[in-house]
Amino acid sequence: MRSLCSFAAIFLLPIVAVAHIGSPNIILEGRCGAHPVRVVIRPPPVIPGIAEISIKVEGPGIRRVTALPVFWQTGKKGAPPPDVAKLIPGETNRYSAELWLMAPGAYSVHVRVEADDGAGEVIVPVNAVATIRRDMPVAMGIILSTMGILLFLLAVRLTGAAFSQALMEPGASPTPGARVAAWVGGGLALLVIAGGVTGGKLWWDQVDRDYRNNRLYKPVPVTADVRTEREVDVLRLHVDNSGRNGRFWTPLIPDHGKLMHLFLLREPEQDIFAHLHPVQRNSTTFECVVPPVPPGRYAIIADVTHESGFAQTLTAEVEVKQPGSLLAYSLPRTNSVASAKGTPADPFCSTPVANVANTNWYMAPDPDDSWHIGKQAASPAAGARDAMKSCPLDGGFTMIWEAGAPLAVGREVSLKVRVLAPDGSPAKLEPYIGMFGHAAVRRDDGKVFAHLHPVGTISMASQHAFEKREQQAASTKVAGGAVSNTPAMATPKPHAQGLAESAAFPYEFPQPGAYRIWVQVKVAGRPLTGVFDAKAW
Amino acid sequence: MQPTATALSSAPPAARDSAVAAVPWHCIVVVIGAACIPIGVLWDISWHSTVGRDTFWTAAHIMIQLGGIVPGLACGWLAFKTTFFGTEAERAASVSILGARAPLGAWVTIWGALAMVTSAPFDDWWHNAYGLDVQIISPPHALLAVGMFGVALGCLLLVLAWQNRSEGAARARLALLFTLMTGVMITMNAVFITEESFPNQHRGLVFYIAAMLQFLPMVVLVSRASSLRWPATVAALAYMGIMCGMIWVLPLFEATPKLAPVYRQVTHMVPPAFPILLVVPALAIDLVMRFWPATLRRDLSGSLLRPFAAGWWKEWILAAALGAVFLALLLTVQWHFSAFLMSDAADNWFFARDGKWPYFVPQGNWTNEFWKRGNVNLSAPLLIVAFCVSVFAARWGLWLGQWMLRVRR
Repeated sequence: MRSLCSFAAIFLLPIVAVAHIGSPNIILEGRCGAHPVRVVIRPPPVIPGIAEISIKVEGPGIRRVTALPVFWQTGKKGAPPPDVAKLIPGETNRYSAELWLMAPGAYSVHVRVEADDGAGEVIVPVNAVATIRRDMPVAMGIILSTMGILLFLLAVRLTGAAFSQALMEPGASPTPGARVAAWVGGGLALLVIAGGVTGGKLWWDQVDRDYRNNRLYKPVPVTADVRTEREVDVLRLHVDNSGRNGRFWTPLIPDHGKLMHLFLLREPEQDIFAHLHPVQRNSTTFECVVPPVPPGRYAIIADVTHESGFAQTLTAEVEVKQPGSLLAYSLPRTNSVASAKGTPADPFCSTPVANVANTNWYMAPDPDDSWHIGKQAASPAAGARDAMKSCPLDGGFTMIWEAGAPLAVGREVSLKVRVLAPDGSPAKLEPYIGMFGHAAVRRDDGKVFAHLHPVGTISMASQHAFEKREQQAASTKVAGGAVSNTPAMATPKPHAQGLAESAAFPYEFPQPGAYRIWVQVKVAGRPLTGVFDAKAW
Repeated sequence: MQPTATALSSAPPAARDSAVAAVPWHCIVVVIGAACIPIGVLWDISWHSTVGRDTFWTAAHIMIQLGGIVPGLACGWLAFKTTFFGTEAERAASVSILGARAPLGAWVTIWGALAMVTSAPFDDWWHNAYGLDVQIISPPHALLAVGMFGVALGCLLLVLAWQNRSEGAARARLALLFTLMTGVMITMNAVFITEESFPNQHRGLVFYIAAMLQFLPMVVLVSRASSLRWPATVAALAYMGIMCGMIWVLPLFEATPKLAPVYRQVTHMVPPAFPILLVVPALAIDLVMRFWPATLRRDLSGSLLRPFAAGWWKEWILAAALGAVFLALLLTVQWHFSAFLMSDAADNWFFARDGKWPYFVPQGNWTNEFWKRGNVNLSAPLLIVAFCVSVFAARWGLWLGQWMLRVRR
């Protein structure tokens, strides 16, 4: 048995990136009709597999909650009847169900709430891909090996008997010839069964190889370099879509107007953070202007969403050798003093200024690019509860994280932040790239990363792609004479509007460890980044 | 001309001192129990094709488990009783394994049941490691299939031993039971090659090789070892009867898919594909076996493990004739019948042309066309390959039949 040669405990390869790194669970905060909902989906690690969905519904008069996984290629018309979510015992407003995800690829889970005041539906995008390869538990390996040996020996013995005892007249004693036949028969059986077991092992290896090479999701490989093109420092990413990678590299759709959201993090200090938006030069090449960050080795983490609704996170590394040429065209620092080592001692947030467009540069930076320099440690807010952490921001602003209870692994938390103006008064948050806030969560070893919004961990581009597809299908049906009974979608608007007092990011820390959290908001017309350290237990 | 089984069984009375007059209860129980296996498997495939979503406790799974549990327990009881409370005759007609006594068939059945039990946790782990039932044929399913085959073979041998020790009416009844059990095993083999035997593949080499390996040895062995007059024909009819029964009964029950993606709006349980017309070549096998010239018949009392004993070539001549007849008739019948099965005339409840496709199979003309992909078109050189395979398959069946003629315990 395979387990004989792999008596290892359950060994899980690091969970790879599929729209986030090592953070497979999906959280969405939205509305179904008049009812706010929080949906948590825990996808299976292998496909086909069963996902768990938990739906928390606010408000009275709930009659029925359903969940329906829809495969992107077939749409709702290719979906079975929805599953009715059951109220979790002991809970008053939290429902759960199982979602069977049978094909690898993008799914949209349609969560529908039927209440006294009407019905509403929200779409939750889910990537269904195999993310781990398991080895057999030791105990099971021992049991199966024992049974295998028993069956093997018994089969050999029975085959021997089939050529000797079984052929004798009842009551007859075994003759020397019968004994020889038993040995010959048993020997032949041993050879045949050993051959069968060897063939089975080879077959298993082939299945495992196929799983690892073709079915197990692996991030599409990306290489990155920084080069100077006509006096402009350009960060270039090249996606390797050769071989099997081509299956995972299909046309992209924009998320809040950007085809790619790229995070640049200096390693290992994690003291420099940039949120950039490269442009696509061709199907596999992306470029952006390097921000004026200090030299060093940087981790690149880039989020993209494909037309199918499949979202993935690409990773690479790059060496930056000199501060970028963008320095002269960035917002000046307003309250920073450079340290002797050349790294600002206090936080410094910046973004390209408008007059970049008036240069002869090879390419212009995205106006929504922003970067943050400084390793300030968040401290308990002055005069506030210990649970609150404050982080000084550029320009004298302060970000407050109302941390609340300790961060427990596998439990939903809401990372809520607000900003104080230099005079201590609450500052209003403006929409930044379509949202009131963006957060990036990363464990210190880089094995966990998530890009969060106030709506949760989902790719909103994916959500809107699904929504649009369903609406098109419904309108086609209606045009064809059929009656559409699709309830009005109540997904969040693609772009936040107005001003907000605070931003909250729902999340579930997947693994214990030390995390750094960057929270980006826009205040007084400029993006500001707050940095917090936290431990999840 | 007499069937060979009868000829060999008409041995001196001294050799039949343990002959029995009635069919023992456990023979009937194990055959009925073993029949649950292919019926349960066909039901389970239909469930996966229609509903998709399953648990360990679906009715189809329970039926398969019963197919292992009932014969396994019956044979376990037989072993216990023979070992500790058996009569002299019962102990004399048993095989000793580590001191415990039971007929060979009972031991093989117990072995098969153990293999089936072992496959359950293995399959559960496999689902967790590689996904829920990605393929019909996977290593744990293969172990399950080997276990099922072991149970069925054990039941066959149990009945066979009784047939070979019996006379008169009891022998006839046991021969019928043995032949029907062979039909059950043929059905199991047919299920095993489901993915290679859709009508769309009946003009390709792969199907004929698979059919030759799975069906030809079975019809040849039963034709030689059973005491019935037309054993291969009856066994083939049993196989076709089980398959047709499933085709006609399953769609009577309403069911809808519960898994996405749904490419076909299935409303009733999906039946299997129409069986191959095995009865035609099986009848020919019976005829060849019955009317084969006496001068070309080998003395079957020689050693089983000496392939070149006197007259060895006679068996190969017979195998060549059986293989050629089987291949020629199967090819002729299925070449045309498969075209009919894909025509509009077969789009009904009887032949289930369109009804047999699962919910997850995309629609299109390809379902009613002969498939080219993954299929090797037949040509003269490949027909020679198929013929060679048929000869070896028939020879294997003859050897098994010869061995079965001698099983006494």
